[in-house]
Amino acid sequence: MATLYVLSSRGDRRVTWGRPEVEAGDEEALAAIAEAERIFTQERAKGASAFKLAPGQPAERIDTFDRTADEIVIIPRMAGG
Amino acid sequence: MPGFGLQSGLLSLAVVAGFVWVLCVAVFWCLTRHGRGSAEDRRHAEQRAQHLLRELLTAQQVDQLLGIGFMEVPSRLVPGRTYHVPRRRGQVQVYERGRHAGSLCIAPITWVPEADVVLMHKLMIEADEAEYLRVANFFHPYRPS
Repeated sequence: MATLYVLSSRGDRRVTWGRPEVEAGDEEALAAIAEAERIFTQERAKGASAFKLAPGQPAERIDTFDRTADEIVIIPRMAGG
Repeated sequence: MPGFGLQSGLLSLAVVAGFVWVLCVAVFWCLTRHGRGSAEDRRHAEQRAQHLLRELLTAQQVDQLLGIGFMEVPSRLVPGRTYHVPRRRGQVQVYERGRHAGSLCIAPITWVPEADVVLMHKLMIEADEAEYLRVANFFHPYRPS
């Protein structure tokens, strides 16, 4: 399952979808990935940063939603203290 | 009637006093209820964040955090540099070839659970170290002359 994690004051919010199901045109999976993409765009517009994770590799920052990613983490903006 | 004005005044005063009392009780109830809710929400958020951290870190990184209180994240920009990300809120320590080189102060602009802050530092250092360093305030270590 692919997962979008959105970090916030309430802990993480998750949206999951099966990539094979998306490719097969499954309605539920398509709705989930559409919701993930909507959240991604909304959070990026608010200044959040997004990262793609892959096992055994360093995180990669992404600016657009990656449908091929296994895991995407969105974090709130950071500022110098 | 001279007494009527006085009675009317007292009645108005009683109504206003009653209204103020109800308002105070309502405000107090809202504040105390909100306070309890926030504490519970934050505890729940912390639990979720710790669970997520265990999912996204390696076993070695989790052991390091729990054992020595920070996680080492190697720099991809500067050879020999490592960042020590604390388990609790605080500054990230910078080491270069084993020597303390300074501290970084950088934090999320909104409250998030401590475990999520650890994850945020790690992701930023790994994926966008230059931006991380640009945003953070750097403090040189104190070295007595």
